[in-house]
Amino acid sequence: MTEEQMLAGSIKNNAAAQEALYNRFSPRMLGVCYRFAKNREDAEDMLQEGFIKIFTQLHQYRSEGALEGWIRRIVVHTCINILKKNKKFNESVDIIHANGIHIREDIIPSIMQAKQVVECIRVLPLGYRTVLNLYAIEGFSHKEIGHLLDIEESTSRSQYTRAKAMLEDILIKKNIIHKPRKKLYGDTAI
Amino acid sequence: MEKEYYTTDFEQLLKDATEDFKMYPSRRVWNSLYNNLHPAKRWPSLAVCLLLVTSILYIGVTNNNAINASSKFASSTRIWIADNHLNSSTKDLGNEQVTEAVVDKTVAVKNKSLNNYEKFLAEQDRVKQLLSLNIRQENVNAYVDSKLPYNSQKESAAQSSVITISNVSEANIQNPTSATSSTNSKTIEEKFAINDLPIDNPKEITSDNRILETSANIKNKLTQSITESLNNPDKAWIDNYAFYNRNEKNKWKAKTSLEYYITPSIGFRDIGDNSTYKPGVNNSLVASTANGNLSKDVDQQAAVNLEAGAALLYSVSKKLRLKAGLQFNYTNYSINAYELKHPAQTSLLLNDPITGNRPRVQAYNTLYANSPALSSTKLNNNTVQLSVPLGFDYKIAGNNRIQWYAGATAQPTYVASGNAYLVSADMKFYVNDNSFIRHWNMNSAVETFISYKTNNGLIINAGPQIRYQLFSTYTKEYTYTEKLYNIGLKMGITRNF
Repeated sequence: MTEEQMLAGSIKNNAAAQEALYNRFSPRMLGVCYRFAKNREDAEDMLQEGFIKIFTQLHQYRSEGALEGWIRRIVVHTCINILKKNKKFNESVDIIHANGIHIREDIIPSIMQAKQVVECIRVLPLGYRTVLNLYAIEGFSHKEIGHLLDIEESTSRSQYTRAKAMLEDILIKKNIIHKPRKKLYGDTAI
Repeated sequence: MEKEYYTTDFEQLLKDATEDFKMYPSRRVWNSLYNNLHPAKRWPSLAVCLLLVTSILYIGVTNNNAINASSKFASSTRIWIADNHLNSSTKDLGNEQVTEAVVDKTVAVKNKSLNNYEKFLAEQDRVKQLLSLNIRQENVNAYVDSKLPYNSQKESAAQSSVITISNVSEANIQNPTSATSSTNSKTIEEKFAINDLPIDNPKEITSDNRILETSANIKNKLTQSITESLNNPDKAWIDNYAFYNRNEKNKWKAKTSLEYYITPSIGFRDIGDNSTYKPGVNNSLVASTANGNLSKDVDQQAAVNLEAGAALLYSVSKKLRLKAGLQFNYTNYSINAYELKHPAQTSLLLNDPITGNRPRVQAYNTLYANSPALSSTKLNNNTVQLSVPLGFDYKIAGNNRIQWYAGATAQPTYVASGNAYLVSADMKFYVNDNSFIRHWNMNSAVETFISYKTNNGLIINAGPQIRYQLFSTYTKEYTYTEKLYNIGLKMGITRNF
């Protein structure tokens, strides 16, 4: 089934077309959700919520960009909306000075291949992880992140700086990257 | 753009690393999604449920009305008017043509006590006076032989507990003078049947074409007469007497009933680590679960299970009854797995009872994986069980017609056969080995249900049941434990002996 057929069928609420569309994009979108979520179960809930929005808003898609990009944007927004319902998340993302946070090496997964980077990202504190996901991977600007998360733009920047430093440290320790850094925390490169 | 300006090698590394990262969602996500997108598909099942509930309510209300209409003094009063063409026996009394009426009346009397019997005879006289009837006593229902001496009658009455008197009159019951113009011959039969006493029930339409008809005046007079003669304590006494003075055989039969039931249910499983397992030196072969939750790593899908059986119920009191029976169970659930193109080698890490729980590795070749592969497939784990449920039912509320019960059973179970796909020690594959199924197990069940008694004495039961398996499906050798549980709707019929 081509992408056009899937689109047309899904708009007409055809179950087969919807399932084909879901099967095509759900693995990658679950990967996106997993980076934001606490665990796989939460990620699947986010994915489900995201695809409900996708199928109900599919008629608004204008074929101006890639369908995957449009779907990804909806999924990311859904993840953020779900995270924002969590009071703990709102507190963690709004902390400007998050000094003193240390990641214990033994909780960093030792699994290999593609999943290792994602698992290292997931080790980060919730606020750091979210800002890093949005900025470095999803391509949102700090202004957009501030608007999305209801925080100051400067808060987003500082969160990202610390998140980046912490992640670099983890990746170096796990020998995933070899770039030597003199100063790991408090880097103000941005 | 701001993003491009600040993009460094680090950001690019993250992007590249996460770009192709995929995870395969469980089937549960699509099923939930489908239900959300196509809610209309639920309507057929909802409609069927609604129809079922409506039918039960309708039957309940209809039958309750029928009972209320016919139950006064815990008895039924019916007036039979005969068709004049078929059953006329008109007699002339002087110049007046009157009809013949027959009044049958059945009441219960006290065993070995003259008090109520004499009351009954006195009441008989009152009826005679009231209706101006010639009453003759006859053994219509073989309870009292009128030819016996008075004492024998009393004894006979005492043994049978029930006396039937047939009253034959030659007068118009309403107004003798007004009957001159009437050529109708009327047979009036009235029965006062005490609950649970063996009375013969007249048919609604008899073979000689008599039809049921109510005569308010006659009924009122007879009712008034009986009411006056039997006050409430007497009636209660008669009721109690009849209940508690059945013979031993009837007592046993009245307390015992047989239930047949069937329970369609949804079957789940709870998988966990075997606490008796000693990891030892081969610990590295056991996977650390990605989510820290074994149940989530093994993708399982619930399936329809079935239970059927029969149970003997014995009432030890008005609220409590014991039960024991024989039950068949088919349990199953599906595992969402992936089929490999070529067999892969994997292993189970097992407790070795000979070497004192030191683990041993058992190698297998398998075509089924727990992670994405060539194509997805479903593996079915099932068991066929025979069990002996032993337990009780407790009546929470209800009346003679509808009752609400809660119950529980323990079920020693023999697992006759089954199919087992076991997750490997590294949790990457499934292997098929039925030899690990434990043959003796123990289940427990709790239930609550509504009982509805139909007019013909059949009792229909329906309500939810949860059944839980107390020991693992598999033997102690296996690294993981699995406990099955079912949530279902138990439906049954109960019939007294």
